[in-house]
Amino acid sequence: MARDPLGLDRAGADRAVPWLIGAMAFLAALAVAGAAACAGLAGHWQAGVERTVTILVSPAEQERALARLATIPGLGPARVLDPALLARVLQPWLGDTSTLPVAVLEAPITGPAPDAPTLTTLLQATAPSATVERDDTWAGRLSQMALALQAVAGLVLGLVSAVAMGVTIVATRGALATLRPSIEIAHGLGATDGFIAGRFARRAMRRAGLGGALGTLFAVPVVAGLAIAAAPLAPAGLPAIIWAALPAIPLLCAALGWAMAHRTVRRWLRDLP
Amino acid sequence: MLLLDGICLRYDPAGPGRLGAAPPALDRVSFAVPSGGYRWLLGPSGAGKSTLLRLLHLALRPQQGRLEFLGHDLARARRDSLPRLRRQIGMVFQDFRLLPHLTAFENVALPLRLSGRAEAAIRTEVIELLAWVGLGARLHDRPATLSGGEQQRVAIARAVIARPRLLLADEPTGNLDDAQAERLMQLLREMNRQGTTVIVATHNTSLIDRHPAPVLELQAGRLVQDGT
Repeated sequence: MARDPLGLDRAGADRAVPWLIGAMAFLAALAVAGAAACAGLAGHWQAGVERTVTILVSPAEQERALARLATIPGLGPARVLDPALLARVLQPWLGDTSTLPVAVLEAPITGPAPDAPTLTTLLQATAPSATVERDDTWAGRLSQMALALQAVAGLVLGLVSAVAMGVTIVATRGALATLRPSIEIAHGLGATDGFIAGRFARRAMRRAGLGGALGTLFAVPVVAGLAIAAAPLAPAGLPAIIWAALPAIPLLCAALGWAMAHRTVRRWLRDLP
Repeated sequence: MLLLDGICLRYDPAGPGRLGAAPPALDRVSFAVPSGGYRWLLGPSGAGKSTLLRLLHLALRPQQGRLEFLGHDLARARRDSLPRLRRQIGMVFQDFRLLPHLTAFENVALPLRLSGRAEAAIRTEVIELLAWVGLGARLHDRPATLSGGEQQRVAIARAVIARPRLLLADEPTGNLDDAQAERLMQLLREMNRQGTTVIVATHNTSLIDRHPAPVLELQAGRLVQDGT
């Protein structure tokens, strides 16, 4: 078969397709990386804060609180945070805190432990000034923020997919209009709808796949930069799924290009006898 | 057997090639051509000759009547069954309708490729036929570089290469000199002898005189002579 029996190379309607799809693929890659990074960071922070319970208590009740904590199941040995260290950490926000009548205890969660209100009740029986933060509130907020960012990333992904589909459809319609005489001749010689649509679809697949590859390639250094920037926040690095998902983007672009072009041509051909 | 029974067809004035409520381009046309038959198709310009040929080439569907070819009622055949039937119909257009980006060889090879013929066999057959129509040295030239007569011969070669069961030609000798026209007539006659049904539209009465055959004549969309 001639490489291009319908003259698709001459149509020129899809010259910009790789660049437009490339731009969409670049945005999609960033959205995917952003969503995965959010999920990873939130998971990391959540795991960190959920492993400890923090108790504020007056220094006079500190020993009683420590003794009571040692009897509560699900908690490991509690420790008193160094007041000097605490004062140094809080100094930028609260100024001199060395005179504050408060001790901060921290106990690791080693198993199923009571929730914050129950812990508070248990501790206040022996140390009435004790208040407990199980950091669940922070974890919940982080989790919500991650979900919201993931939803935004999903929305961006949906939008760029819709734009990519629109670009393919417009380019295919342009090519159909330009090549109408050639298509009618081939149709008259006995070319099936599947043959004609297949030619368009294969070309769209190659062009969209090329665009997807270009966009993803440009996105890789940006994602790598993000990974480096996020390293102090997530020592384990960004989730590996980011690096697995990026190569899928050109493949998805190619599949999308094939499907949209095939469908557009098939519908257009219905007008021919 | 090719059978037309009460075929009516109108173009829509709203759009070229559309069917609709204009005066009939074909008005209750009925005739039959047995397999292996040969007919001249006559009529003044605008009588409906090209429309009839387009109809027989399955580029149009009648709004009324029955059109039977190779045992199929083409007026009612499913759309997806038509490509297979079209491959059994060869058509020589007045305006050649060659694909401009393909070479002479590729244009002639296309019907064989569409029907899935092996590439080795295609090459031999196409080269042989193009040589027979005097274009053995122009295999790799594109239509734009060929003269009108040469393009006409490529179009003829493309129409006959797949040995169609029905061969339609619209003024096939219009761009050919006498010698080439006579050579074309020999080709059509030879194909007809081998069983191909042939219908040729022409204004060239001397051609008809030299190659007598039954005549179908159209006047204002009506068949006034049915070839019997």
